[in-house]
Amino acid sequence: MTPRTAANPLLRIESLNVAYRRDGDAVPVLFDVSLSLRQGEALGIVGESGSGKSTLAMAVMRHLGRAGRITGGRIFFDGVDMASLSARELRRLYGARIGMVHQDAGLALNPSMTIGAQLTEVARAHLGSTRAEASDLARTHLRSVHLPDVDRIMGAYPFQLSGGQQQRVVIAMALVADPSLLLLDEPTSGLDATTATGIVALIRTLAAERGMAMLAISHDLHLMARLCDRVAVMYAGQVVEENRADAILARPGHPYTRGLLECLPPTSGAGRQILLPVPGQAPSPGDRPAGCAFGPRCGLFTPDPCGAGAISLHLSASGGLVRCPKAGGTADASPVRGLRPPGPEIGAAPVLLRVEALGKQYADRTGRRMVTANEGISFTVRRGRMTAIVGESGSGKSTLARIVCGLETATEGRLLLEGVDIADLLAERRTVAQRAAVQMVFQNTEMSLNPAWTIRRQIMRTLRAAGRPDDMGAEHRYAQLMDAVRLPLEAGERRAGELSGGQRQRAAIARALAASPRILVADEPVSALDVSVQAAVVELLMSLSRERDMTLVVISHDLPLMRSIADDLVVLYRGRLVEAGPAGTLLSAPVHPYTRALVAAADRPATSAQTVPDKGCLFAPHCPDRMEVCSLRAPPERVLGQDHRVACHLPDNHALGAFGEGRACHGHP
Amino acid sequence: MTEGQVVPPAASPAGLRLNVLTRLYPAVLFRSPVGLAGAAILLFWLAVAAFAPWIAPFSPTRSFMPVAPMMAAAPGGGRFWLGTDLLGRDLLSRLVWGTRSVVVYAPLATASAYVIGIALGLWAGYRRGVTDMLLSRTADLVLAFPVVPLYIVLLSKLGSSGFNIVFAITLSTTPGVMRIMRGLTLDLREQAYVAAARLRGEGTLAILFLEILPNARATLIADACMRLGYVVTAIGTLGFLGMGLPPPTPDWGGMIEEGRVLAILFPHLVLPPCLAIVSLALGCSMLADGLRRGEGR
Amino acid sequence: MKRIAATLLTAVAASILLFLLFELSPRSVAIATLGPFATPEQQTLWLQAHGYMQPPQVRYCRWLGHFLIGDFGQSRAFAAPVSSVLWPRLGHSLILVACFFAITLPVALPLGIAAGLREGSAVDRIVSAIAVATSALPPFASAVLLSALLVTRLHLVPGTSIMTEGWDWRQVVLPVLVLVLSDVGYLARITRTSMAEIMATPYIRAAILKGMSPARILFRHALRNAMITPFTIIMLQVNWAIGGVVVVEAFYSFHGIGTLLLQAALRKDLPLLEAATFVLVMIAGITQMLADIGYAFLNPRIRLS
Repeated sequence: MTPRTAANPLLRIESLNVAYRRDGDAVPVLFDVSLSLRQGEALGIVGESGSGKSTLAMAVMRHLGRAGRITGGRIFFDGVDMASLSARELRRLYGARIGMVHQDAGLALNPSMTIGAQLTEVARAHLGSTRAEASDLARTHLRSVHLPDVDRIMGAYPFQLSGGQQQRVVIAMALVADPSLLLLDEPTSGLDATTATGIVALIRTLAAERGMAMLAISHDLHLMARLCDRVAVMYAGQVVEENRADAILARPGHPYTRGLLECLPPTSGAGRQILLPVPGQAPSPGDRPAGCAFGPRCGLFTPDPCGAGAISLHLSASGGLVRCPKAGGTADASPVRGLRPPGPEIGAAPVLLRVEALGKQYADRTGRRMVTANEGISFTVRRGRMTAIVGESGSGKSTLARIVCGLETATEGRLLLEGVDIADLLAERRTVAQRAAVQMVFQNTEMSLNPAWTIRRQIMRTLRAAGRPDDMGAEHRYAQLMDAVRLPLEAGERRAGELSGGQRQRAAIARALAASPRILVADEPVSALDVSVQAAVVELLMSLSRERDMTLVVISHDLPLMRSIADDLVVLYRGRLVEAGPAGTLLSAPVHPYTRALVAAADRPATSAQTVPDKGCLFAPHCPDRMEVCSLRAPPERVLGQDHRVACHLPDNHALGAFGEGRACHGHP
Repeated sequence: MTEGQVVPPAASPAGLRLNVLTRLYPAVLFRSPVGLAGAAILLFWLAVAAFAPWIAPFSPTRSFMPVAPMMAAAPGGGRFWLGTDLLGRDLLSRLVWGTRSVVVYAPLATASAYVIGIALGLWAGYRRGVTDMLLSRTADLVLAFPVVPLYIVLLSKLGSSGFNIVFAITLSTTPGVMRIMRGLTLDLREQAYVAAARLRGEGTLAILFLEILPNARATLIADACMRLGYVVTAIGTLGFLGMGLPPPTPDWGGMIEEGRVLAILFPHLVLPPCLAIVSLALGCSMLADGLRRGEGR
Repeated sequence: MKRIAATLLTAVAASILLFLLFELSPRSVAIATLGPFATPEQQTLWLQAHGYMQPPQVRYCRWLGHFLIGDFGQSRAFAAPVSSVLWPRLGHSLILVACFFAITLPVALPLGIAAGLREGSAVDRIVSAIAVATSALPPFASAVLLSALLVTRLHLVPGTSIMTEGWDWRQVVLPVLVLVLSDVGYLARITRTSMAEIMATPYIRAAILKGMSPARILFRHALRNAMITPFTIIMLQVNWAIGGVVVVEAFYSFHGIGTLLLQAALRKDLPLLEAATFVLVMIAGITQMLADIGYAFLNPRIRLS
């Protein structure tokens, strides 16, 4: 963090403007971006999709593709104007002085080359190493990113590695030639929370050891604050705020930054706060309003300073730069978020859905091996209490959701909907009432609505299928539904492709509501949406659930979000139940070591090992409290309190004790 | 709560325009000059077929003098614009009347292959499992036969007739259509909107034809145009191999076959029908190209 | 192993189909062999003499057994054993096909690669235009056009390939040229599309931003992945190319397996027709098998799992 040569920054971007050519028009995507980065410093760029952050990264690399062009401004790397470099000189910069860590490591690795070949070629091209030297260097760097069994990985193809391993390989590849600047493009996207935490810690350590500067890009403000010294927030092609990471979190100056923080669930265990959505949506490139681009969504907007003309960056009260004429006033103080009212008491809430020892096995692609997606899962959904099913990718949570809705059948166990077992009934074979009782909202907003038909037609079909044949009644209820999800009626005449992600998700919710479900299963309902839109959809679901006496079951990998909304939590790991119970109990006193790790999101070895134990506790290889019995027998499921179950060999008091031993924990200071 | 505010109705005017266009094929076409030219060629031949009696100067089967050159004067007045064939029939008239058989049989064979292929592909892709395996293996088997030898074997066994030609071409084209439809179905059946349809209790037929098929439309239409072009050349090939429509019905491929022996000496016997087939096939291919490009934007 | 089994299965199924089509009804075999004017008594006598009175499954097994040892029976049209006619003809056709590939691949692949590397460039446009134009050019049409140009106008090469006076390379030029013309554009376009797709992948971008040289990116990073689709297509094309070969041979009266098949069909020479078809199906099946093996070689994911 201490600058070595403060006067001469490593990277300097001076009022950069970039435009893309589309259908013959030049669409400007970056406006007047100025940033600088000293040696050894880490700068994070935060922005939602369409903010221009990726364009900025590619502009720094002078790799904008055929359609993109720098229309103004200059970029200096180590004092040299990037525009003056020839293709050959640029190649000597890439990989050697500027290393890049790509988004989605799995796609950034060549599928038909071994990892070894892809690493050694960097050393051979830039350092002039011999084959043997390059191979040694590659191994050294693979070890430095904490990859096990380096010999195997050198000879492996990308598809033979897990996501976390691929990401580490890409980091190692960027480091081979010892660059002075590391460019990171969404370095943790597509990774599970616990894996991502490990990657962030690794990157920080490596950068500190080498005195390497970093320019990181992400949509995740909290991630950038953890990874970087300074953070710049981008909105609609402009930097709207820039400050030290701690200051930007503590005292955000721009209303947009503030909005971003308020619509995110709190990182610390500050209770179940209501999220405050940023209204509206970001303008698409080419549709920027005059004046302040954030104006139409801003509560402080007044035509005079805000809408009058270009707004310039100025010093904010907290020592950073901010692009807002209203910043510095009283509005700087964050509004207090209200607390979410809790669901009904467990005793007072009747059981709506009981899952008993549910299991699902299916044949794999070759048809020879059986794969277990779920095994022995038991928990209870009570009327009015919001249940969150959390787990990493591969935990079987989506399969569980599909079984509950009847898109698949269970192969063992029972699924009792108000006492009636529907575990082996596909939706097609359930009664009209049973089918309507459980409806679903899907993750992928683009494909959850049929692109061939209008929104209205899809909702009307659901209304009619739910058994209301008379058109007038259906017509009326349709209007009510659109109103309930706060979509204008004219949006109903459109098709999914003409709506934004948030609108599509509202329409999908309206369609599910049309069946008047008593349980609404939402599979990652907001993870495909931009951060500032997520909160609005979450709060919509919560209020609909209250108003319509509809119980929510939300599937998610996002524990911070779930902790701010859920009444009950069900934690899954590799298809097995780890722990289930009231959210308050699980979050304040998690019993299972895995629950503890999740709650703490502490740094721990990647759980993405290729080998899964064939017996005993599946979490055992990663468990800090592993005992001999853990790898021998599957842990028994014990009931600890009302609705609280855990599957672990550890005695309760030990688990509670271990939690208090001062393990790293953000959630509970 | 601020959440109550309504978001603007459309993502952006540009996005809206794009989406409307991808739904309306004529509009897509107008953005692609190649596709437009292809459509024009097809329309031209359709018009020729429709107005054949008025365009053709003579009867296609009436015999005048053999192998008259182009522009030769006809005995009863008028001219043989393209000359006459070995049997003394007017080539232009045969060409014009021959349009009718191509314009009828090619779309007929393509359409029947599409109807069967789509139905089987939807079924195999949606059902998967044993149904899929049986249908796919059968398709593989048919595809294992080289196409032209398959035609030769079938037509030599069944005899040449309009119906048998349509049958042979349908048989050889259907597996390809089925494969495409099956692949699309396997993909589309996993989409959330299909799950949503199942959750509201739609029947299998409604899911296949209302949820899955409409979303395969863009791919299928472009593919159908391309295959129509192949079928046109296939019918021409059959005629050329002497397995086309039985004489004296005018048939482009057959005209080439009849003139082939003397083609080196009198290219005018074979060039016009040959160019006709090429232009029609090219029109289909250009139309498909235009549709695909329009979609891809 | 699995591939070989699938190929064998296809061969068996194809033989059953052939059998059902031509041999199932003994009466029709008799008519085809003895001509339409033979009396029913003559037919019955002939059928008895040739073992056609046994049940179909027995006849099928015997028929297939003969096929597998290369005994295809007696050709009526040539008054000679089928195998003595078939194999030399097949050899001629294979020379034709070999020449076709030897010209098409070195032309189409580099053109496609060059076009795919620079999407939207002049090379790309030219390749695309040629591809659209030639994809609508069936072999008989290009044969007519080329003959009109090279034979009638320019007198460069002979217009037929009968080769009455022994093998003559000049007579191979036109047939090969026609085959090349009808396929080169299509193959170039497939290669172009595949190449363009690969060049747009994140891993190529990663390689560029690693500072790799353009040559290394092309040959080491892109080419192998980009060749997967064209390779599969080339192999699948054999099925289609056989059709082209039949047409071209017929047009130039070239003595290959295509003309043989056509003659057999027109003269209702059943043993010859069955044998020629069976051999062609086998060739198609074997190339299909090679395609799958090659695909696995190019794609480590298939190879290693």
